[in-house]
Amino acid sequence: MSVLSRLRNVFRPAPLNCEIDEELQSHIDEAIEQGRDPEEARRAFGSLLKQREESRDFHLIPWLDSLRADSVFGWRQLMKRKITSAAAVLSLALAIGACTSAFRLIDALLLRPLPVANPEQLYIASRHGIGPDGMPNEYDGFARPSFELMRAAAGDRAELIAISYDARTDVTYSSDDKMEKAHFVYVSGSMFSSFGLQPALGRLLNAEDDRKPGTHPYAVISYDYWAQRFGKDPGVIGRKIRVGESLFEIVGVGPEAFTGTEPGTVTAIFVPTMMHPGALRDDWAWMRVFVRVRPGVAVEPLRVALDASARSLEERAPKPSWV
Amino acid sequence: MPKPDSLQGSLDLLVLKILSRRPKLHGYAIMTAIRDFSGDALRAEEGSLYPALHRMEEAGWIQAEWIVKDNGRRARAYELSAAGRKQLAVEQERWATVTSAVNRLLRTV
Repeated sequence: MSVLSRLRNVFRPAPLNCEIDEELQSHIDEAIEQGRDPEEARRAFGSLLKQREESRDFHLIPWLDSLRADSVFGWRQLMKRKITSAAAVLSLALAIGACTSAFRLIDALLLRPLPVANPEQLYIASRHGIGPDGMPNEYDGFARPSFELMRAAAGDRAELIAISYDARTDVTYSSDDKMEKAHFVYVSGSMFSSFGLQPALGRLLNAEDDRKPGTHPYAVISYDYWAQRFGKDPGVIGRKIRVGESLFEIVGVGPEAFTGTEPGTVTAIFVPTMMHPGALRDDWAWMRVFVRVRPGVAVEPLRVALDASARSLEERAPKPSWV
Repeated sequence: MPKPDSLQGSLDLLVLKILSRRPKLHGYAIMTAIRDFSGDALRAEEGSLYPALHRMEEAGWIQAEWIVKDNGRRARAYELSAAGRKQLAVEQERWATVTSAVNRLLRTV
């Protein structure tokens, strides 16, 4: 008998059962006709049900049949106690959901590397010193002039990238006056190219956009923001964003995988650091500095050089501010 | 008291042999044939005969079909297949080996 007919027998057992029962019954009838005691003839078979079970196993796939029977039984038990079952299913669903979201968070925060080229070459700069309260302090904020000094000190040993702290900022679009919130960061012009990112639409910011203060009011929006706020409308290029007193023009959309460098948030708008109101102030630390060390360069001498350059500025400055 | 199943592993052989001589027998007829031809010495119990029939059917040694007997009753009749014929030869061979081995042991010990 083929596998197919075995499968059919598992899921449509009635014909098979009838056939076996009929065969056994006709045997008993004949035995009685031949003068055997009816009781004794029936007893000779033992339990008819057991007999049938034994015979039918040859005609189907026993493990699959048990599985089917167990499923049917389980389903009936569930249906018998609907409320208890619903509570159990619900709590399982909640628990699974909670675990999944917890893992998603851990995945986003800890496990997923920044979707940039050669993430292993990337470092973040921070200073260890004495804070305004006299306590040892670690601080990763830099003023833009210190960033320039550090960039000069690093020379061609490393590429420095400045990215401001992510801020949820009020923005308006010229077409509608409604105020809305968006995650907004200032980035140094070379960020996109040093991360090896390609635009999904239009162009990304470049070093030229970030040379002189206030001259390049251009913005790149992230792919997620483009999809959520603009429904992936290609006409988004050229639209104006007002942020406080400044007006930016959208020039491009970032790649899909890149959601910014801040773990746990999706950055919406990237603009050049030179558009920051404190771009030239050396007492206003508002950016983080990422260091992409070139292959083959020792990290320690580079660290010393960067440290010296950042300190020299602070010593010159009248009043270093720990924002 | 029915006699205990005295066939001990030779039931397949007996059934195949009977079906090879008399095709289209149903279960009851096979049972009576075993009893009658063995001079009432061997008896196949219903509890082992039918599972054996169904097992051999599944293995493809015998084929079954429903027939209507003279008295108008439906019965499931069995017939030997080509594979069954081969199996009969194997079983006969095995039986001969076992009995001759047993006989030799009885003679020599």
